[in-house]
Amino acid sequence: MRAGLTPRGKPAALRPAARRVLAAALALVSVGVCAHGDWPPRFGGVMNDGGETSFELVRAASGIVAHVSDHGEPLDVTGSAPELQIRRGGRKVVVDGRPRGTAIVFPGVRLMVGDEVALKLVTAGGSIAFGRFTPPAVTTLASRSIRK
Amino acid sequence: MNTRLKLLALATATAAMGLQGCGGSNAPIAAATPAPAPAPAPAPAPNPLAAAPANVLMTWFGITNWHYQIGDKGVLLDGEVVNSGSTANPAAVTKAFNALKGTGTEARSIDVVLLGHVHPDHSVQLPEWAKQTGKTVYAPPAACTSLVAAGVPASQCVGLKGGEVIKLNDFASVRAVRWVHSVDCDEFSNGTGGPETFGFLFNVTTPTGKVLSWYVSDSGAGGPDLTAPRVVTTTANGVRTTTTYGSPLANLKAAVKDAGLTGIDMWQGGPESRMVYQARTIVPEVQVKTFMPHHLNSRAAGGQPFNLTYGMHYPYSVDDQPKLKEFMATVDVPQIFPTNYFDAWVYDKDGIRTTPNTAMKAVYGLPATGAGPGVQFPNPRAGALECVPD
Repeated sequence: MRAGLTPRGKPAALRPAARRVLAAALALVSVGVCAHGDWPPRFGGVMNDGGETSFELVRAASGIVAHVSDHGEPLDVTGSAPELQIRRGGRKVVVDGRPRGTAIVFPGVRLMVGDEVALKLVTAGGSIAFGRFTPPAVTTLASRSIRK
Repeated sequence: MNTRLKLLALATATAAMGLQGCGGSNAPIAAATPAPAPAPAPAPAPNPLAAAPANVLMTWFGITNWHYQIGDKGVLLDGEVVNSGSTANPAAVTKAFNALKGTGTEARSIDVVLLGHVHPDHSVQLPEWAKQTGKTVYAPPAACTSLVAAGVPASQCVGLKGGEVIKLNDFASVRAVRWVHSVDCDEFSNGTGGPETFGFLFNVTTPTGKVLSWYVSDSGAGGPDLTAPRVVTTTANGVRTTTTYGSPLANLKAAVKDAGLTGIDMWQGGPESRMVYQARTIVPEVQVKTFMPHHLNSRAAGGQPFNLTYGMHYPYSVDDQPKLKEFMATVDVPQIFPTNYFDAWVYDKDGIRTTPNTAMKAVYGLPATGAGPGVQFPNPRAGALECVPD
């Protein structure tokens, strides 16, 4: 069971029935773990929709952390220029991120239900990658944030 | 006049009369000596193309897995027959290898192994293909490193830089082309931040002199993704080295020219990302005559992952890429695509056409023709394969 079922720390206790449902769901996910572009979360966060580069957004005490990978392999983003683009109520907010090895920290960010979120990453070499997050996924993450 | 001279005079007169009679002319005979025996006809010059392959047998088995039988030479591309896990599955490779060997007219060989790029939907089984075939692998350098780690002799893998010519025999060659990997909307790729990716240009001279040509590549995109030089940084012995190679478009055009071609009959490319954006440049630049999308069924759809025994779990539909459909129709380039794994085609001087591959399909429980046995779902990438500016 993944610790990320709750924002941080130990997983919450689940009733047996819920545990069985969750186990079945995880088993379904694991069947296609290596299918191109649909990698499962490794830190309990939410994944971008499709795309070549995978970004997993995870709620953290300091804001939002994005774990970056390429077909399941962590990707070093040192030297890159990342930004989180959030559309909220018709307004676009751009937050610069801080690369930390294979992750990016977006300090102070709190997502809300209904946010449209995209992550833009300009690598040190000049390539540009995008991760887009569908509203249901972001809503899930935002809901967790609210619960916390 | 003695008897011998009389006989000679008689023979000469008789011969002269006969010549006149045959020729129907009263023209004087210039010489009364016997005509020289006709010189023997010169031996026909040996046809330098007599041993050339008459056709190419192409077999597709999911994602960008291809087998090309070019006369007595067989070429395998990728061979990712599992597409899950992080280590090779020897039994799965053995099954595919035996199926490809086949029998009779469906028999194939593997003499060269190619890899386009290192990603789990292409390269996990590569060490097993190398071990089981024992043949030389041409692949990105990172793949060679993995092969050596898996126990494959270093001498069995050639790390590609682009521009290499792999001569199969006197009539067939393969050229490695440094290419571009998939690029989504609003993205840009100059070779950094992704795997080193290669396409392969084939040219085969047939006995009639007709040259068959095709280019097989991953997806990628167009515009600056095709025209920006590729930048690659490698680290060896703690030293970082950055090398700038030509752009994908320049690399392909150089390979076409080097092969003595004026264009490419067939382009096997995409459709994981933005093919219309790429096609708008590639089709006119290298005069593509037929488009063959092939990077199919790597992604799960409807909860169903890639599985050779299931059959294609989503079909290729030209309607999934409406802009590409419109463009190809405009430039009169047909789209030919597989309907199930182990579909095969014969490509010769007259073009490309499907050919039965029943026995090979039966190994995997697939019907002789068409999709199945599993049900199909919509392409999970439909709607994301073309961007607004494309």
